[in-house]
Amino acid sequence: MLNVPEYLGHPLIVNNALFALSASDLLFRWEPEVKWTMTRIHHPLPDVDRDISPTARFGGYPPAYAERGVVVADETTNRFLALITGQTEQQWHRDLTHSLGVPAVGDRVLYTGFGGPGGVGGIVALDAHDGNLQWKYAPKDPAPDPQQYQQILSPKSVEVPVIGPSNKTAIDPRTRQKVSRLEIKGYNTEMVSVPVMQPYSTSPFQHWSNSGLVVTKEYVYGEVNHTVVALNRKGGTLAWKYPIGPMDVITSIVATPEHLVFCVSTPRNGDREPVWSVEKTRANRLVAVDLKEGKEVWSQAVPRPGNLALANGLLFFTDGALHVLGAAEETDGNKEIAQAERGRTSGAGAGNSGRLSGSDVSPSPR
Amino acid sequence: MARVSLGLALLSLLTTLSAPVRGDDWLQFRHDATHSAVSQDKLHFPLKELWTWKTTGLEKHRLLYHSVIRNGLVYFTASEKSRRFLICADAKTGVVKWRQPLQAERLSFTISDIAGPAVTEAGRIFVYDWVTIKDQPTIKKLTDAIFAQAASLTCSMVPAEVDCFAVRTFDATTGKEGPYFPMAAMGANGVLPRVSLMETWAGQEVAAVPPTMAGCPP
Repeated sequence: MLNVPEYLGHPLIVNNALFALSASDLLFRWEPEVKWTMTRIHHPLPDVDRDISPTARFGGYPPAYAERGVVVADETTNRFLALITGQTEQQWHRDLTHSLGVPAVGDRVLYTGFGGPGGVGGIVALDAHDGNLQWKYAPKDPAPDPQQYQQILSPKSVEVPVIGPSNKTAIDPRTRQKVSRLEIKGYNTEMVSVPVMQPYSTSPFQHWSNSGLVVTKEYVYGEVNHTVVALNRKGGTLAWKYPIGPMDVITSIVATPEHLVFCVSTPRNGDREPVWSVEKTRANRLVAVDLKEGKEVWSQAVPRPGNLALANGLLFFTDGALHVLGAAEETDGNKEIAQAERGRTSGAGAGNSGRLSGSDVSPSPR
Repeated sequence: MARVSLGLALLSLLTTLSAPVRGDDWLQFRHDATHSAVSQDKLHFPLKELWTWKTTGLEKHRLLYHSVIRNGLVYFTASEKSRRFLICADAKTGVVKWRQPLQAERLSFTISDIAGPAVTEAGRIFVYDWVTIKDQPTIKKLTDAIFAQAASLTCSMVPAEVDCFAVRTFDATTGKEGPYFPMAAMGANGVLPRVSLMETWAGQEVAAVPPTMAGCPP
C-alpha cells in the first residue's frame, strides 16, 4: 500500500467548478466531467537560483473569487498576495511583510485583514484588477510580522553524464599497449536535493484563526485590535466600532440585512488559536448588533468558540458540534420561510428520512 | 395597448405573489465565492437552540466546524463510532434525509478535516476524503512519477493499491455519489505547470517543472 497525500484547504465554488489551495504550493481547479488543472505557484526569492528557490506554502489559504480570477496568498514564506486568472497567469501580485486574514471581494475591490496574530491588525482594500492600494485602516499600524530563516532541501534537475566504452583505443604510455577508452555517451537528467535558506514566519498561517470579513453594499465589517469595526467601503473611514474586551477575539463574523452576528471568545492563556485547536477558554458568547450603529441587540453564552453560517432565518453555529438556532417565537417572516421550505423539501428524500440511530440529535433547546 | 400593459402587469404581480418565498442558501465557506458572509435572510431575536448534533472522532477529536445549507437542507460531516459520514439533514428539524459513509475517519491536515463540504447551486456536493486506487496502469504511472524524482527512494515493486487524498462528489438531493478526483493524478500526470510570480506583470508564461513531491502538511 502506498499513501499519496496532498491536502487542500477550504473549497471555493465558482459556478460548477471547485478551486482550492493545498497545504503546499498547488492551486487546484476541477469542474467534474469538463476539465481540471493543477498549477504550482512560485514566488522566487531574490538572489536565489529560480529553479531551486522554495515553492509557496499556502497552508490551505481560502481563495476568493474576483471578477478576473482567484485571489491566492502565501503569508508564511516569501509572502505574497496575487490574482491568478483562469488561464493560469498572474494578473498581478504584491510582495507582503504581514500576515493575512481571510479575503473577501466586493465590486472589484479586494478586502483583507492583515498584521499580527489572526491577521487582525488592520484591514486593507486593494483594487482587484491591478492590486493597487485603495485604503488602509490600521490604527496601530502593525509592524511587519517576524520571520526566521530555515534550511530546506529544494529539488534541482541536473545533467549527469553517462560514461561508456569508446570505439576508439589509446596507447598506455607506460606499457605501450592498447587500452580501451571511456567517453561521454550522453546525459541523463536527475533530481538532486540542494540546500536553500527559506524565510518562514515565526507564527505561520494566521488566516487559520482569522474571523473573516463581512462585505455589504456600503460597508466592510471586521475585527481590528479587539474591536469590531464598520468601515465605509469608499474610503475606509470608521462608521462605528464595538469593543470586545482586551483579551477577547472574534472567531467568526456573519451578517443578515439588519444585523451583524459574531462569536466572541476569551482564550484562557490569551493566545489566539484556530477554533479547532482551542482547548480551554474563559468565556464564549454569540453577539448580534445592528448593522447601522453597532448596538447590541442579543447575546448568548456558548460553551466553545466556533464558526457561523446563516440561511433560511436560522443561525448555524459549529464549535466541534452543530447547533442550529432559530427565533424563540415564530414571526410572520420566518413563518413565510418555513412554509416555503416545507413546500420545497416535501418529497425530496422523504423515504430516506429518519434520525440516525443512537445519534445526538436533540430537538430541545439548550 | 394600455390594456395589454395592464394585463402584463397583473400577470407579473400574480406570478410574484404565487412564487414561494425562497430562503437564501449558504453554499460554501463564507457564504459565496466572494466571501461576503452576508445572508439575505433575516434573523428574529432572541434565538433559541432548535437542535444540535454532537460528534467526536475515533481519537476524540472534534471535526465539525463548517456546514453548508441549500434548499432548506444542511450538509456537514460527522463521525459515528469509527466512521465519518457526509450527512444531509433538514435544516429546521435535524431529521436526516440521507447520509453517505466516507473512507477516511480523519484527514491528517486539519484544514482538510474541518473544511466541511461545499455545494453548487445546481446541487453537486464536494467533500474531501481518501480513495483507494486499484487500477494497475494508473498505479504504475503514479509510482514511476514519484520515484523518478525522489533519489533517496527506491521502488522494487508496484503496490497493489494506492490510497490517496481525493475530492468526492455527491448529489445534494439523493446523496448518490458522482465523479471523484484522486489527487494522486498529480503524480501520474508527470509534469505540472508552474506560475512564477517574478515581477508585477501580466501574461506570465506557464513553465513546466517537475511535480511537487506529495505536498506534506506544514
